[in-house]
Amino acid sequence: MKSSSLTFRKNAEQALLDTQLQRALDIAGSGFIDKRRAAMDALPEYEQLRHTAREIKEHTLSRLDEYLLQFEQQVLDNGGQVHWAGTPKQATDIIVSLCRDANAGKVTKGKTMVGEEIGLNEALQAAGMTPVETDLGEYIIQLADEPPSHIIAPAIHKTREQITTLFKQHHARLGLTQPLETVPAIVNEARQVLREEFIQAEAGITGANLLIAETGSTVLVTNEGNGDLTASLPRVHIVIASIEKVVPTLEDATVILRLLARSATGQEITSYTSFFTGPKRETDLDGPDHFHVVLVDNGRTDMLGNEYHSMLRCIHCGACLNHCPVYSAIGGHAYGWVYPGPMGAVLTPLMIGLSQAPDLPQASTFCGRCAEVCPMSIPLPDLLRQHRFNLTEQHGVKLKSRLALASWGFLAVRPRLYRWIMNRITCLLHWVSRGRGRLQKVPFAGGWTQSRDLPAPQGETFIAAWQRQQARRKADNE
Amino acid sequence: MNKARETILARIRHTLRGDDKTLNDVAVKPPLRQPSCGPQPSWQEDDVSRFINKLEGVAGSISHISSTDEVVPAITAYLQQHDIPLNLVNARSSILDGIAWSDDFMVEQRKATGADTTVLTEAYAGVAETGSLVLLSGADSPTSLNFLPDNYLCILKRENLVRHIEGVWQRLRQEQTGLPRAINFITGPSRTADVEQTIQLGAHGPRRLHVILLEQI
Ligand code: SF4
Repeated sequence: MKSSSLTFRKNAEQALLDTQLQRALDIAGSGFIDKRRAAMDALPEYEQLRHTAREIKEHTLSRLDEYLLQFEQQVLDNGGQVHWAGTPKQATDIIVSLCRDANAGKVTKGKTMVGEEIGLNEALQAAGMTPVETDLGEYIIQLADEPPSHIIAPAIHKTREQITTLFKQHHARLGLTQPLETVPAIVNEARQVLREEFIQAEAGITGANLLIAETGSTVLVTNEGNGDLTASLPRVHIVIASIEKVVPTLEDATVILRLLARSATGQEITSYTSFFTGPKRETDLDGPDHFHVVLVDNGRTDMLGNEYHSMLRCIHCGACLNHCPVYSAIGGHAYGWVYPGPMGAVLTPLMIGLSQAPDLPQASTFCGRCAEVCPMSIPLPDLLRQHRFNLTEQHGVKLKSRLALASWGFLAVRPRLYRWIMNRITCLLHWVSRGRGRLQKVPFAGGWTQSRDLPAPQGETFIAAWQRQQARRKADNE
Repeated sequence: MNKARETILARIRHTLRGDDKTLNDVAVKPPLRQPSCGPQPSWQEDDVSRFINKLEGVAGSISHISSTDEVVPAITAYLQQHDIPLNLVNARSSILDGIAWSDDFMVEQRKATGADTTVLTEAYAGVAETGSLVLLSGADSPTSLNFLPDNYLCILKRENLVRHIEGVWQRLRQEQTGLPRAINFITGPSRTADVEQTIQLGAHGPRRLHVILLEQI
């Protein structure tokens, strides 16, 4: 996917002014937060599970090569095939050629974020095939020709009215005459239209929430059932997964699944949690003839063992997005690439380069809520701080900031001078505010006062007030 | 893409152990780790009540029967209550094959098509923890039955209700038949919240899910 992370500041400003987007974000409100809270309150074992999940992931990462090989062997033993891709290009080449081998004109797709990472739809289209997104949210944004704005709710930035308009535009050729006003009407229309696509498609591509080394299974979590229809009806099922998704056993996967749905939507388990192992067996009445797993690296091996290692524990639950004040204010598109929110602000610079996304690590107030709710205990603010540190190492500090810091440094080691100057400034600001207690404009602080007032000093510094009080106390005692 | 495979594995090895052994030097040795069970949710009520609470919490419904003779009346009642025609496609199992359908029913045994409205299956297991049904793909139980119809009816034998998800893995390990192509944990009807976070049932899969719990005495 092409990135616009470089213009994050401008994107964010536009997002704040986009009334449709702001309405959509308002509607989303605190729904995810409240549901997650309720689910966690009902689970006293949460902290234990979180601890175990982290251990499972760290253990797996410490022997990642062995578990990947075990996974590969098991897929082969069950009649499937495994393909390895280091780069997005390698991954799309593999998938395009698998779809060609299947003589696929139409390819149904379940939601896959790795697919977004590698620009899968574009590659399939360039090869003359028609990818059809089947997750309702993904389908909506495919109609709108937009990228997802949330990793689990891709169309969260769209209002119902916008969706109604999209369906009117795109389904007229399929015979839709009435505008679809209600949620059931919209869902039903998508159900009817996509039903045909599921049945016609020659190949189906899904992501994977987990890979299981001991069995060679890929795990898929959905609520709509679209992933299962994509995986089961076409002749070829292609699973695309990044390499850090592997865990050793079914029991290990279970621990992570207990955290995943609760963190994402507050559900204890999604409507459908499916484990796919190989193609259809000889006596099976349905299922694909061919089962392929494409393992994608795309920068993950770089993260292994470096400062960002803990990010490989991410299970893409989206909790950090839902709890982020920055994400809640600007939505996902402003981040400019596949992954938004705190996890995106960490991942994007690692995947497309820090110089392509220098402002993303600044997209945080460091309030720490993301790390608090992360089921995999990923210290997201620390990782963002690391990015800021690296950015400073690479590009130095801006002249303006350097001068400001240098002047402060100069004064800080000269306490008398410092106090004298602070005294003057305090008196001056007090005088300028004319007793109103606040200032609407202050020289050199335009950015700060643009959206709020500066409380004016009361005419005395703390130290001056302290000294006066001490003097009075002394006089009283005498 | 064998080259990519070599490269990825070599990079991992280099980082983790600082060695650069070629692939063949490392034998695949499963299992690398004994399957150990992680923390599990606990509850006060009995497992059947838990299962029912969880199932109803996700918009599923249930009827209780105590012998296979009651399957037909239970299904008739459910379908009539919802104004659903008495046509159904069913999976195979010793219970399903033994049902004596009345003449009011049109029953076929096959995989599902996009036009089927109602399906009847028998679950491999139920999970009390989550209110889930577990279905395994196979010659008798095609996966399309679980996802294509509007109305999903499923028989669950009480003895097949396990407490936690791990109970399913335990049973599969004991049976030693290997995993089927698809294991589906089904928890309530299909749903979506992709339009303004409003939950709507029947996105792509069944709109209704009804469990017939068979307690054989
Ligand atoms: S970083 Fe944590 S909270 Fe954010 S998506 Fe990943 S696992 Fe979920």
